[in-house]
Amino acid sequence: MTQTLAPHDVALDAVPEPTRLLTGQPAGMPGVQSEADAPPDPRELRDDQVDGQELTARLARTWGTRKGIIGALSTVDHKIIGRRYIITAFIFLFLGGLSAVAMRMQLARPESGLIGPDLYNQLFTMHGTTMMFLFGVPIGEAFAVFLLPLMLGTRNIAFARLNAYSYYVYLFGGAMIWFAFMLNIGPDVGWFAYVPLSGPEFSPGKRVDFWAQMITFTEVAGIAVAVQIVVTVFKMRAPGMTLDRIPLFVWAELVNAFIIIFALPAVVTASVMLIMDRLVGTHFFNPAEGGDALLYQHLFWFFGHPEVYIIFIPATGWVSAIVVTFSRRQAFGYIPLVLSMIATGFLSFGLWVHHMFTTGLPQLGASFFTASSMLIAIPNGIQIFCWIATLWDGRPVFRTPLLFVMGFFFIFVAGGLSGIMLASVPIDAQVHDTMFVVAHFHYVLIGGNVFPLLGAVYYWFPKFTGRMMSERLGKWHFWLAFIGFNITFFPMHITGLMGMPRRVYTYLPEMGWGNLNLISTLGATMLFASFVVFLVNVVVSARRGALAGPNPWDAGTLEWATSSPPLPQNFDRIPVVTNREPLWAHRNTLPVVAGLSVENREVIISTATAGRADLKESSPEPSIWPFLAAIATTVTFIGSIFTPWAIVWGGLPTTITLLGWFWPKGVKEDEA
Amino acid sequence: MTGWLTRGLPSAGIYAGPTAWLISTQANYALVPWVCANQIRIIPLVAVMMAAASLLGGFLSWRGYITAAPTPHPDSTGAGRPHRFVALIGVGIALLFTAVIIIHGIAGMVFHGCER
Repeated sequence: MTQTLAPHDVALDAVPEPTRLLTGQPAGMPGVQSEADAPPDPRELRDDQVDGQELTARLARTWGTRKGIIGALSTVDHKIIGRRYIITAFIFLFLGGLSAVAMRMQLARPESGLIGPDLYNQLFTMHGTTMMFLFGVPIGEAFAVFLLPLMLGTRNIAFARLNAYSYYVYLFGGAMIWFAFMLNIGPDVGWFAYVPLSGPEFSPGKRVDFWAQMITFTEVAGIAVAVQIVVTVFKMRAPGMTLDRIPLFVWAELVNAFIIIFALPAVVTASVMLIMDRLVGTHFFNPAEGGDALLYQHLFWFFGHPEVYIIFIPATGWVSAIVVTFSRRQAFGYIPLVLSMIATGFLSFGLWVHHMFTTGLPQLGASFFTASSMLIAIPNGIQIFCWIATLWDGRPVFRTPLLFVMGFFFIFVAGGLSGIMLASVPIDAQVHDTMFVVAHFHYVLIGGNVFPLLGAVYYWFPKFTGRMMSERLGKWHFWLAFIGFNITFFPMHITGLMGMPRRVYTYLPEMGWGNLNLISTLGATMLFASFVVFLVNVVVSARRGALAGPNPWDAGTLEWATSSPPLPQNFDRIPVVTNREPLWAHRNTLPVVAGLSVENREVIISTATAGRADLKESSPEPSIWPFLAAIATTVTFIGSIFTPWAIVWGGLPTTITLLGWFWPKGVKEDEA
Repeated sequence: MTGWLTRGLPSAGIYAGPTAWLISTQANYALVPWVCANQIRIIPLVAVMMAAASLLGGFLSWRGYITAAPTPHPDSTGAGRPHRFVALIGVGIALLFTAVIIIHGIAGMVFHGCER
């Protein structure tokens, strides 16, 4: 396939597609026909037969969401679901942040009695679990759900009903664990829930079961969205969007989706085995019965280290988009940037043992993971240099999104340097489980995800809402966050080197850690204040911000070609891409493809490499079944915490809802 | 096979490099107890073989790049030629993973496998 396509003029290929779809002329290789070659049904209204306001209104009716609660719960519009995903992930970010503030208050002075040891254990577990599973994984996917179809020039995400289902499963799983916490049955064994501490002998009761089942919820949702992302990117791109014209943000989300698909099953396996040890008496992790406690750590960290990159790689997409737009030039080193993303994705699977350096593994075995851990700095370094070169050679405009990217450079590089220190076995053995490690991974994760994320919110807020965020509040937000972050986490390097362990609810005054901890708590207060400013900015700007227009930043990618916020159909006519920055190449008129149905939900399916229009395919209508299926799944999962028979009895409603969802109803287009 | 060597395969490096590195990591990690017990330094040998496999992938990608059709012409951003793009990514990834594999092999020359 690859070879046969090579001789064709791919750049010119984008041009005949509108004609082909319009006239129904055969395309592609001689002798190779597809459904798209069938002549259009003359009774069906197509977008070359109407124009202007009428076309917009008709398409909005076809692709719109019905009013009312049933309509809202049935929606399959990627923008509505994406917006819900983003807001939910931010609510979990705030909850995770509040639990961190509570911990910092407790640690502000020695022998503080503000929070007892049991609640403290629950707090750090909820903080880590929320940030990693309920915020870190979903936030990247949430942005993809909203933005990918817009950036790729299509009208919805692939498997749109699965998208709705995955959101509800994620929401219910996250709500479940936070309700458990509020009822004082929140998990208390750390975000990784190591055995034997989390096993039946040392953690009786239901706390760990809630943790393990929450993993199942979020992983089901995460993998489902990742599959949608992969299919959307490979098969639903606008005609002419060859692999090397895909926006860098989309590449980041694609690599991220592959990591999710291959990494998350490991932690689901670990959590299911843990539940079985706890509920049905298996002994996977019980050495006394031939099990292996270290097996749990291997399974967990085979997910856990790629998880770091699941959090970081979407941020490389946000940074790339912001740097290009505000530098006013295309990305310096597009190919090295994509190469780095792909290489990082692969390498992220060969680092997990560096989380287990103190478990007594042979030094030779550990050295292989040291090598990979150190060399992953190469692709990450390439990315940093490409972004700096883009800024250096461009005409940077320092608006709030770019300020957050600047903060990202400083903080993430500092975190990367301490990461290289930790990749060394002797250093890691010395500082293992100390506050030094806490400092390191907060520099990497907050620097590598949260700062770019905040920049991304300022950048795409006009697209989400149609209004601009306040620049003045944005600058306040940035400086409070940047200074507050460094005051909070930099001293932790020192407290860690002084020997302060992680996950202790208090310490003695004689240890000499009091002053540094007080400084960290003051910094945390400043960081908290920065988020208050952010929240005020979001709420006020959403109501009274200046109107944005379609492309307020004069950006080059396709999401800025449509209105802000976008109409249900995204585009009245599907754009044809002839350049990596289509809106910069066609400043006045964007070439479009015509011939799609106005009355039915029709999308273009394109070829994976060259982005040739290949098929016209139906996109799913709204349906309540994904919501009902998510409820049935939730009942089954939560019930199985209390009895394994819930899997059997819960299977019935789950099956019924899935049957309702998948039952062949005929496609509206075929019945027309 | 001969056709592959002459015409190349643009994506070969993307698959060969990481696959060779995966085998190198897993095989070397599994071989550590054997190396300790027998004191035969087999890890550099595994690394050399896997590095060769990775480089072969990079070579096929390179062939895919230089034998690609001269058309279509790139757009103003240098894009629009996805096979050349994939081939260059393949070469780069193969080289990077070859470097990682070689460092695995060097570790096998430094340690004798019994250190804890």
